[in-house]
Formats: sequence, C-alpha cells, structure tokens
Amino acid sequence: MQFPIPRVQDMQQALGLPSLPVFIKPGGFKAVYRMQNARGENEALKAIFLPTATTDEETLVRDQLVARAKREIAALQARPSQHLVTLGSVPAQMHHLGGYDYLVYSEEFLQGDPLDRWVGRQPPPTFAEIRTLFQTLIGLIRDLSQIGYLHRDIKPDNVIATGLPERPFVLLDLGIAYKMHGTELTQGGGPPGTLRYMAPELLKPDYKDNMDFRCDLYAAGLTVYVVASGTHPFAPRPESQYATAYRIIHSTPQPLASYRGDFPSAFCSIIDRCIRKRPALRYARLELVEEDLGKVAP
Amino acid sequence: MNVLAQHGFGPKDKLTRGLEQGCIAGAVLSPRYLTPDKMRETIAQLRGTGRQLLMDPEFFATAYLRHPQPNLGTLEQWDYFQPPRRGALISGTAIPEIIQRCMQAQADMGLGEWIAPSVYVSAADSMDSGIALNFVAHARRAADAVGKGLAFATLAVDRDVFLNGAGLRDIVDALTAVDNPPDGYYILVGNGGARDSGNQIRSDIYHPEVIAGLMYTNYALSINGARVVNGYCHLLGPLLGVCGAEAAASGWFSGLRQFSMSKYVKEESGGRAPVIRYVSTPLLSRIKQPDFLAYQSVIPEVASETPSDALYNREEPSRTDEALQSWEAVQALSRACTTGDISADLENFKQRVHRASELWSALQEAGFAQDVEANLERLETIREGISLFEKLAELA
Repeated sequence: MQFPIPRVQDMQQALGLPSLPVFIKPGGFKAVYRMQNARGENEALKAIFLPTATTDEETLVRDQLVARAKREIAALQARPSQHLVTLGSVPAQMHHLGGYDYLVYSEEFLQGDPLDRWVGRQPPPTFAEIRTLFQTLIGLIRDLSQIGYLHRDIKPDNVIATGLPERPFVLLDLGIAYKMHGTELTQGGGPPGTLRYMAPELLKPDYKDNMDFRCDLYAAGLTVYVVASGTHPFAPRPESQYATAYRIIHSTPQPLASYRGDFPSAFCSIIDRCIRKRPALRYARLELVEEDLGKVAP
Repeated sequence: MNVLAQHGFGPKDKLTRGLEQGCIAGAVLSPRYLTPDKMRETIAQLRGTGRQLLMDPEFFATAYLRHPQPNLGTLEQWDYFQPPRRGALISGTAIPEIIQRCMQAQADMGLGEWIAPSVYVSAADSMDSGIALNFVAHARRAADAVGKGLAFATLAVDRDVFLNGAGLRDIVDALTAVDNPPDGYYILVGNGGARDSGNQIRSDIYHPEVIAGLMYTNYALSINGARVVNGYCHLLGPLLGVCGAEAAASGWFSGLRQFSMSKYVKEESGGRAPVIRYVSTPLLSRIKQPDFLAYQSVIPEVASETPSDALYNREEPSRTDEALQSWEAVQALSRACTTGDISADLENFKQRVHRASELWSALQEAGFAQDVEANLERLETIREGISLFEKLAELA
C-alpha cells in the first residue's frame, strides 16, 4: 500500500518532540518512526494514514482504520501480558500533516531482532530458544483470549527477540486484533492478516463463523515451525498468493522432526499438531498444549 | 478399550455373568426396559469396583410421544421424559433445565457418571444439529448444578450426517470449540429403519464414509481430552478404540448392536428367532454356529481362541453364552489392536482386515460360497473407511 509518509519535521512540530524522530519503515497504512520521549528514552512512533473520505468506500476504509487503531490501543492498555508491546508516552491523537489526516500514538521501542531474521540462521535456533518462543506465544494467546481478543497476525516479522532473559520474545502489532463478540470491523473481502500465516479455515467465505483461538494457535505453531526448520511449508519460494493459498489448504507439511532431528520428537509432534488443517485436530484448549509441553524433557 | 453391555430386553443373567467373567467392564442401562425402582435395584446389583455403569436417558425418543404407535416401554415412567416445546429447544431456554432433570434422575439412581440428553440429528445442517450442540455446550454446567458427577454429552446422529463429510467436520470443529466442555461423549449412530437381519453384513453403518466419520469423531474428541463411549457398536468397537474411544457397548440382539430410531415405533412382530451366532475375530464377522463348526473343520484359524470357544464345540450354546462369547471376542480383538500408537494400531487393523479377506477367500475355495461375497465386500468397506479416516485425520 502506497501512502504519503509524514515528514519527520512535521511530526516533531505536531507532537512537540524534543528531537527529530527517525523514520524506520512503512507497513500497511502505517509509518513507524523512532522518537525520544521527554526522559530521553526511545519509543516507536506510529502514524496511521487515514484516507480522505469522499466516497462511501473511502469512508468505510477510514472508519475501519480508526476503529482498528482504537482497538489495538484498548488491547494494549489492558496490558494482558508482559510479552506484548506496551504503549508509549504519546497518546492516540489526530493530526493533519502535509495535507492528510493521521492517527498518531507511540509504543515502547524494542531493541532486538525481528524473528524473520532467524529464519535460515546459521547456526539454527536451539531447542531451548524455540521452546521458549513457543511457550511465550502460547502464553500470549491465552492472555489475549482472556480479555476476549484474537491476535490474527502472529508471524516471525511481528515477534522481536529481545535477548532479555525476563522478556525474551515480544509480540508486536495488534492492528488487526479481533475482539470476540465485538463490533465487526471488516466488511466484505477476505480476512485481514498475512496469507502465509493464515489458518485454512480463514480462507473460507464464512471464516468469521469459524474464528477462535485455534487460528492464533495455528499461526504460532507455523511461526515456530518456520523459525525452527528454516523453511515455510506452504510458501517455500516466492510465488502467487493463489499458489500459497492452495498449499495452505491442501499440502501436508513435512513433520518438524524431519528438519530438526535434534529436537525431542514429542515437541515436534506438538508443533505438527498445531498446524493441522482442521481446527478440531489442533488443541481444543490451551491447557492441553501446556500439558503436552510439560511432558517434553527440557 | 473397554467393552460395555448395551442393555435392553431380556438381559436375564447376561450382565452379571459378563461382569463376573470380566468380558464386559460395565453396562449402558436402558430406562426403556427398567422403571426407576427397577433401575435402582439393577444398579445396586451390578455395582462393583472398576465397573462403569451408565444410563442412556434416550431423551431423543420423546419425539415419538405423540406418535400413533409409540413403542417407548417404561420410558414414560421417568419424570424427565417430557416432550420439550420445540420453540424452547430452538431458543435454547429449556435446555439447561432438561439436562439437569435428566442428570438428577441418574444421580438419584446412585450413578456417578451422567449422560446428558439430546435430540436426534438427522442432517448435519439441520436445526437439530444446532440444538444438539446447545445440549453439549450446557452439559458440564448442568452437571455442576446437580452435584459431583462426570458429564457425558450425547451425540445421537443419523448415518446420513457422516455422509456429509464437510458438515460432519464442521460439527466436530464446533464440538471441540465448546467452552467448559463435557467430560465425555456418548455417541450413537442411527441407521433409520434397520431390520433385524441378525448379521451386520446388510447394515447401513458399513459405508466407508460412515466408518471414517465415526472414526474421525472419536479421534478428534479423544485427542482433545474427551472420554468417548460408543453405544450400539459391535465389531466396529475395536476400530474405534484404535481411534481413542474409551469404550464401546453392544448387546445381545441386533437392535442392541446397531442403533435405530425405528425401535421407538411399534412394528409388525413375528418371524423366527435369530439363529445362534459366533463372533470370529479372524474373520471379523458373526457367523452361524453350524457354519463355525464347518469352517473350523477345514480352516482352524477361523476360531477366535477365547475361552468361550469350547461352548460352541458341544451342543448349541445358550443365548447368554452367545452374548458372553460375543463380548469376549470383541474385547480380545480390542486388546490385540489397541496399544495407543494410532499409526501402528491402524496398520495392525488393516492387516487383520487383509487376513480376514484371505480367510474368506480360502473358505470360498474350500466350497463355502454362502456369505463370502458379502463379507469380502464389507471388509473392503472397512478398508476404504480406514483409508478415508487417515486422510480426514491428516495421518496419511
């Protein structure tokens, strides 16, 4: 998605920042900057582009973007888990910058590697790292579900490996989080999220009827599988989204143990089960995952 | 997997002897044949350490309360057996109270494991399917309101539900998504108007998709921690045990080996009593006693090699002996096939099916033509069912 990225000078002036923020990357409708707060600490500043609403469709898109951002902020304010990114010093506010509207707010700035950099890493991630990653993601899914949310976009790019022992992995981007029993934010079209990490049931036309925590469990299992094996079972090379969607629905991944013979087979079986096609064949309750994990030797 | 007796008409001493001899681990009792007083008495008589006693409330039979010729036995003497208002079932408002009354009746009988009532589901996408899911969703909470007991939800479904593969898998997805799920499931597969054929060969349950669907349901529920008891289930029981079933119940006449809603309606009676049969685990079939003796004289391997075999080598065994031999053979087959490693167990079962086919072919070559083709066809159906299940369960 191409959209006008606000100038750093405009951002500094609008927010009254002590120094110029540094542009980091765009993503979807969002531009991300590094800024310093009043205490001199780094924060991640986010500016969500809100298109000018002259048609009904544009109004719908704009309203959805605002509602999603508010939902993300509300979820982060609830602080359900220490493994989720936290809000920063800039509260959500609207700004008109360079002739366009933006919703701006900040989050903590995380030092570390996004996990996509671990894919294919040499030496490959250790079992201890992978196990901790999986336990963290399972804990996050549980914590989010307790406040009625699904993340819907768990993937290596959205996980930061911080290297901190008390908080080794942190999940970013609740931008498309879904509030179970909440107001509908997406109307028409397919489900939001990243196709490569989307559970097969989300590719059905009636996906909204079938969404529960098992979609996140699938994405967590697939994230672990990809990071541990160094390969994506449904998108091993660049190809069309149709080909990827076909593989998600029809291809059976190689067992994780075939890539990681050095991992306990019981652990590999847990990951394999999380990425089964049918939700019923995954885990029906997170306690069952934790129970099985408890049986895996450290 | 445990074998349970599916209780019905004319138990005589079958249950007590079956329990004493250890060929059954318990029973699913029928309030259609036992008044509340008689039920209490029977439970007291059968109770024992390690024995599983359940009561199938048969609530789905309330659908026949207004039938011109109902055949409900003593069901109407049970307080919970009241026709529910359809609207209250659809809205779900009546469901918690119906379950509680039914479970309370079982608790009053001194049972510690209670089967929740349900409706009979004829089609995967029917209104009844939604109502049945609602019964499942309320079972655990209703049990908590009654007391300290384990809650089994009933899944009473027609075979046609299993023929709609996508619909069935959606139902199982929904069952495994229930918050506060029941401790277990009591599964019945009905075949509409079953006739008393005395043999499962003509049974409609023997369809690859039905077998695969039943295996899939058992597998998906059990891997998610549910205890699964299959009612009215005979030689398929061990195969379901391979898929994780905790128990399978079967009885002493065909109506107790295969479920049918038609039994709740009076039918023309008459006809001859079925002949005594022998369960041959190597042949995976129930065969007539004279046939067993004839087959065994040519191919000794057809014998199940269980203690009851001796009874068949003398004069015609009694109906009780027939029931005991049947349970004993199913239990032996189950023990031989169930190790907990599903891939290995399925392979084992496939080899048994293959071996059974070879034995039937050998019998045919030896001049025994009767029933051979039908049995070979049925074995092929089982083989196809297993293969289909492996695909559904993502094991293949």
